[in-house]
Amino acid sequence: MIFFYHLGRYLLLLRRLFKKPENRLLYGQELIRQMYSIGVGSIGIVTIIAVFSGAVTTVQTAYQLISGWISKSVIGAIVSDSSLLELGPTITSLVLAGKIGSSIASEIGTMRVTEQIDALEIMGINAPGYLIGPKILAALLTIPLLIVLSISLCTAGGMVVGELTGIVPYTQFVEGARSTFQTYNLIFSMTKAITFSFLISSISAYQGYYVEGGSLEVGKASTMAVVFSSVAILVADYVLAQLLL
Amino acid sequence: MIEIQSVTKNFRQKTVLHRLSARFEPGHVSMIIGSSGSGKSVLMKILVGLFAPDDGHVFYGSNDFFNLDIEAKTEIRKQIGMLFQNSALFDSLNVAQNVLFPLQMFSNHTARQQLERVNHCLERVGLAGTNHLHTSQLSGGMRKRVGIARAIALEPRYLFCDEPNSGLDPLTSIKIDELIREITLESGITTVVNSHDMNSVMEIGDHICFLFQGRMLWTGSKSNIMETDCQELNDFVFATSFLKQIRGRSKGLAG
Repeated sequence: MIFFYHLGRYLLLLRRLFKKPENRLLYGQELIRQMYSIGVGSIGIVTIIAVFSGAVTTVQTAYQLISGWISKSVIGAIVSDSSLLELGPTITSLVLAGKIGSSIASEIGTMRVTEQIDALEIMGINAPGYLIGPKILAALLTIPLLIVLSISLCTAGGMVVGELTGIVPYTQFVEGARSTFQTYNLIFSMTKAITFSFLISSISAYQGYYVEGGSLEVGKASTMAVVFSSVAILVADYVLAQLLL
Repeated sequence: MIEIQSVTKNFRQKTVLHRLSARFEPGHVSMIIGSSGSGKSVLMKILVGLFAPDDGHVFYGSNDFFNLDIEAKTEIRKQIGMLFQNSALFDSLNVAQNVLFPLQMFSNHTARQQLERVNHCLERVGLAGTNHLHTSQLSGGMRKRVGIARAIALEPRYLFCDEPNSGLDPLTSIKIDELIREITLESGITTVVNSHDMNSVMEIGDHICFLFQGRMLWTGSKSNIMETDCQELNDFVFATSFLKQIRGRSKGLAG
């Protein structure tokens, strides 16, 4: 029952985003600020996660391919496909759920408990539209780009480690990666990226927007934002895989 | 003019406001007083439209606020300024940007005119030259002043102040009270102040509403608050033994 209560309140909150902005310029400025915070602010962590994921995948794939009959180019195929289908979109999104989700929930939650959201509403400003709308839009615009970066770095990380350790030569890695590449997989990956971006930003914003209490509750909301975003990503990941593959 | 008629509010089967009626006139400072838990803050939130009453009406002029459509409500909200208990300044903005925010959002003036208005408002509250200070660099009294400057930026017709003196020293409290009173008189706006500070009530309260356990037990002016027979109000006003002694002496002298 409590699930439906939160689902209903979440949908009603989302509905409030679709009102005409009071001032497009200010909304635009807020969007750019959020794009910088979410997008540029996450490049570092995404880079580290992607490069090491690719490197580890190369090493572990080579470890499991013990037969001499299998071409080493298969390692390139597995690493690139894994990066495209799962490591890039899903692992990156789970990491971003921790970084961005907690940030969104705590920012909005703090504004709630310090009455800044009340101040906006009394001024006649659509608080969800101004506070949440730009965050969701910024996430939808920047997270897929971060995921493209992640896929690229993940594959490159695997390729460089394969070359440096002698597991698989660069040429064979690229040959394998090219042999299995399908444009549909890229579309599938971007579908996941957009879905996960929306889930992370909207669920975290919901958790922050309805905080009641003080700093302790803001901390709890921040934690809940990460937990629920992560669970939603995993469920959506399965549903999309079942529907689209 | 703001008028409330038979306003009732319940939270989970518990009635926190019982059929309250009152009228707040322009050019006057109306005070809502009462002890903690009496329903002052809930009434204030209903007045500014953050809570909807379960029964009754809130009139802004002739407009029944909670029966208006969203556009009409927004138009009225643009005429409302509010000073919050903790000022509710936007953390990510500096002093000038806080005051500028409502102007940027709603006014059609040029950037230069908006900046002039910001400087005028800051000057009016005694904070000229503080434009670039960050909110974390402000004292409690300065935060209240910036809150007032932001509240009056759009030249509101209605000003609401929630516990304007909380957390302030007596001298700063008096200055904030004086500022609220001056702004009310010079602009002829309808000001409603929610407070339990009796100094403030006696300093600036033109019209006083006393809430007790969600009921409006007494309304009147500060001149007749001392002579009331309302026991709950007397208990509230003369809460300390010091004040009780003073009252006893003054009654003795009168007798």
